[in-house]
Amino acid sequence: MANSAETEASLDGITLSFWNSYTGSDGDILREYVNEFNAVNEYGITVNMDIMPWDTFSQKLPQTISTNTAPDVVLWGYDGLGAYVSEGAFQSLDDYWEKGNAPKDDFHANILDLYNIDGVQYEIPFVAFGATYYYWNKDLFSAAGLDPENPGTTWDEVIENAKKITNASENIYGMAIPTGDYQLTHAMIVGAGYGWYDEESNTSNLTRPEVIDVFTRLQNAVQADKVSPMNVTGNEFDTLFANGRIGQYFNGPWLLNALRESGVNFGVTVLPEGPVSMGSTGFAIPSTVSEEHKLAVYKFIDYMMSAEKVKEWSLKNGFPPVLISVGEDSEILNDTALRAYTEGLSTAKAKYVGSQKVSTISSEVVGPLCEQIYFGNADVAESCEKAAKKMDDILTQE
Amino acid sequence: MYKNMKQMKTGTVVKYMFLLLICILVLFPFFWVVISSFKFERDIVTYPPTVFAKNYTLVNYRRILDYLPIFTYIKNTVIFAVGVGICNVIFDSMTGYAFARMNFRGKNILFTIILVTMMVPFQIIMTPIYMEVYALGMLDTYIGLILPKITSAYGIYMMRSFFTSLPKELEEAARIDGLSEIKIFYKIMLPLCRPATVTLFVFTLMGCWNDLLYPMMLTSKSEMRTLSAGVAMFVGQNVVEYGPSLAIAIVSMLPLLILFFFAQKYFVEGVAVTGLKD
Amino acid sequence: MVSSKKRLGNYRKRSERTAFLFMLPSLSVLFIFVFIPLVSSFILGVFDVNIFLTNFNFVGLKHFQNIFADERVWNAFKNTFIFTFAEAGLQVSFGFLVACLISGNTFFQRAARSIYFIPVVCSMTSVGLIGMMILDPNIGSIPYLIASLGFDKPMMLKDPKTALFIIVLITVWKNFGQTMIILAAGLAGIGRNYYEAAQIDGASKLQQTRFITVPLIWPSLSFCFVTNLIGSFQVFDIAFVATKGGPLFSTETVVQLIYARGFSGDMNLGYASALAVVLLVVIVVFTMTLYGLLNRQERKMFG
Repeated sequence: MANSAETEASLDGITLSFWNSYTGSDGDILREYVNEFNAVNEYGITVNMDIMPWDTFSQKLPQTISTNTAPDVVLWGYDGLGAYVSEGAFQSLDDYWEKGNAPKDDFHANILDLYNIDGVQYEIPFVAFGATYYYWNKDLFSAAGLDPENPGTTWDEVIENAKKITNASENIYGMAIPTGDYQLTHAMIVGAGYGWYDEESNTSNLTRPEVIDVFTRLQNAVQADKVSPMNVTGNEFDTLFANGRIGQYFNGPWLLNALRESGVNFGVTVLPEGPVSMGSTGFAIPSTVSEEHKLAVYKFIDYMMSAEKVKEWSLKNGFPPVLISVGEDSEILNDTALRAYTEGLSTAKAKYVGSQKVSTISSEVVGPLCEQIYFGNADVAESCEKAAKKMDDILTQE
Repeated sequence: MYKNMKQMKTGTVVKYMFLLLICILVLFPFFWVVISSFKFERDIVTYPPTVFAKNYTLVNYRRILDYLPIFTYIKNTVIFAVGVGICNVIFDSMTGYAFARMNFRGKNILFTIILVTMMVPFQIIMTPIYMEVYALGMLDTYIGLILPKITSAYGIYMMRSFFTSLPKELEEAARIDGLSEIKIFYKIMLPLCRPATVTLFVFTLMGCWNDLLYPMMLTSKSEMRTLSAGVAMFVGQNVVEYGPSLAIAIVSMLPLLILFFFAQKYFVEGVAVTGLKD
Repeated sequence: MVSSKKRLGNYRKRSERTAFLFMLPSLSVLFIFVFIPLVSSFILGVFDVNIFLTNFNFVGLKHFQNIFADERVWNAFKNTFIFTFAEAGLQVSFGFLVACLISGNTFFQRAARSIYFIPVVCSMTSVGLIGMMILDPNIGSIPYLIASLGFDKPMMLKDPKTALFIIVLITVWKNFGQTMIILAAGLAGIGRNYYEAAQIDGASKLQQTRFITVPLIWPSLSFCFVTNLIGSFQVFDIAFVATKGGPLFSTETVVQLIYARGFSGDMNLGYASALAVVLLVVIVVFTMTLYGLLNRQERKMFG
């Protein structure tokens, strides 16, 4: 860390604009942090935070970058990062390890890799979590004669459990398969050892027997065994699970506080059979930002990524801590949910880092495919073949 | 009037039943929203669905007061919406009048072009508009918000339709009397269109009040944000805070409803034109 | 004494100049802030460009070729057409009916007018959110009520066969108040003596409506219908918030597809602009034809 007194003095009075899409309750906590930073930081830096809904944010940011009115720092994911980097929209943050406080080795390597494209670090991770954990309703398990402390350890068991729990006349279902969402399918495919497409050969994996098997099993579960209500979105499932209607649910950590408040008797653990896929956001700095402002942003990042703040965020918000040292803190480990979340973090697999095609593939191929198969009862082999061709087209397109 | 008393009774009764049914259909969702805004979060979306809850609370309203600079939002929204509304009434009625009552070359083509400007979704033109406002140095200002919207094809079309339906004799009489076009316009024609101008004012104001994308695009400072931005705040990417969302939806709607209630009497004036005919 | 022909000539020139002055503010703002953005956006349609506006690749008509070959585009147009004509037809007729019924000044009528206007005042985002909550087959009150009356629980927004129609109904519910107000204002401008004369002649209420009311508010009626069509062709908010184009793309509209391809996923602004051009042509063809027909009728009636 080479910060001369000169550099520090020149940061005085700088105002930074910070944009993100943390609407909702995590935005509250962010607000607290920003206000605190403005009050206590010894550099005289003021951060102005603007929170806006994701759609608006993703439309507005590129506009501002191309007209040089971009904010100084944003919270961004890794999904669309590839496109932004190839357009030169974000700048390299490699010198943070040198000029900033958070130690590089306190971050899990797989998380840092999410934001590392062609050897350059474009974002400093702020939060990371498994996108999918396994929640189960202990009361429903007991009622179905299953052991409430032992949820399934393989996907087959999960489906078997689901069948036992389902009681359509009481409006109780064994598991949740959301419409328009392909995360569950993806988790199972990853568990089988594959992704949507093979990154080396750049061709789709949709026609592989293991993948077709996953689709078939889930289709049977939905259509034949009717273990999940049809055409329900993720948000609605949150409510149904919190109301004790669903036996097994797969979702991220954002549910935690609401679930605790609702009083439902639940447990949470990592997914059966395989690494958890990852969600994450990190700090990115648009390429139009000056060196001076960048250094000020680094001070802000120092504050946000201090062990104290990371621990606080984790406890208040119900997310696993992104720093390794905090993950070993006893307070964190004592919370069963947080411990489960933290456990999966180092082995979690990131999806298709740096790829520019993933969001297209998700919205154009995979999402519709899942809907057709699970809710439209389409023929699995046929649909997968058609989708595979589409995916290959997108992958090879320039 | 009616062939007999019996027919009158059934006719009227059917009419009132129908209107009442519509009232219920319209009011039920709002009734649900208002009640739910006073419920605890977990009582709002339950299964089986309920309308009433056991306990009520003010926590949602308190939350939006704490979390959002709501009075700033309201102030900005009022300035933006009222500004645009007044400008539209003035400029759209002038332009609408010209199209309805004056003759000039290229009138039809010009009007067609104006109509065509209504046929493009905002997302497509928002980037160029952003750049123009930026180039004029008006980002994050009231005038930057108001200027691009001081006139609208919808308003011009509306005023033109109303002016067309006024009888020609009026202005011809005035013209013979030697009044200039401008005087004819604002002394005679405009007052007759009061239902239309009030309608236009209210609609324009409403459109701006609820507009999310446009003000968000042209402002970056949260001191300049409008109420619609506040409404979007409680819909997170993964979790929706239903209680505060409903509360702020209500808060956002109330001023408009009050305005509309007072503007009511201008909408249905009744007498207007008949004086001339007798 | 100036010849009458010359006086007429002066009059026309003066009329043109006055007209020009009247229209100047509107026209200049429309030109700068709508027309120019419109044209520059459409130029993007022949380029391959992303939303950062870097890397302009001229691709000629490639986007247009892709558009016409894409099944999803045709589907979006089909949905949009169904929505547009159903919604416009329903809303204008319903709005007209209600306007006729509440055009008096009794307390009940004034109250009804205020009540019917409440949905208009709400933002579409709120309505979408509320619609989702109330109409959800699992957690919504309305399907629950219907089911408890003994019918099959309707899937509403979750059923690909009914979702689009439900969206139409929600939109009509939200907007009919607006049509009603415009038409009521128009009705107010019709002199009572017309009706009185007709009554004396023995015309029934229905005949009075058909031969007096409709012709006299023709400009307002056609205005409502045309603007409604134009707006409905561009439907986005309600479909986006309530169903996101699902289930199975049964509610995906053209503007939604523009958004999906231009601002998320691909982020190809060139493609999105090309699609917007196609949409514009479609809207122009349909509405201008309709507008021409209605306008001719209008001129016949009002000169």
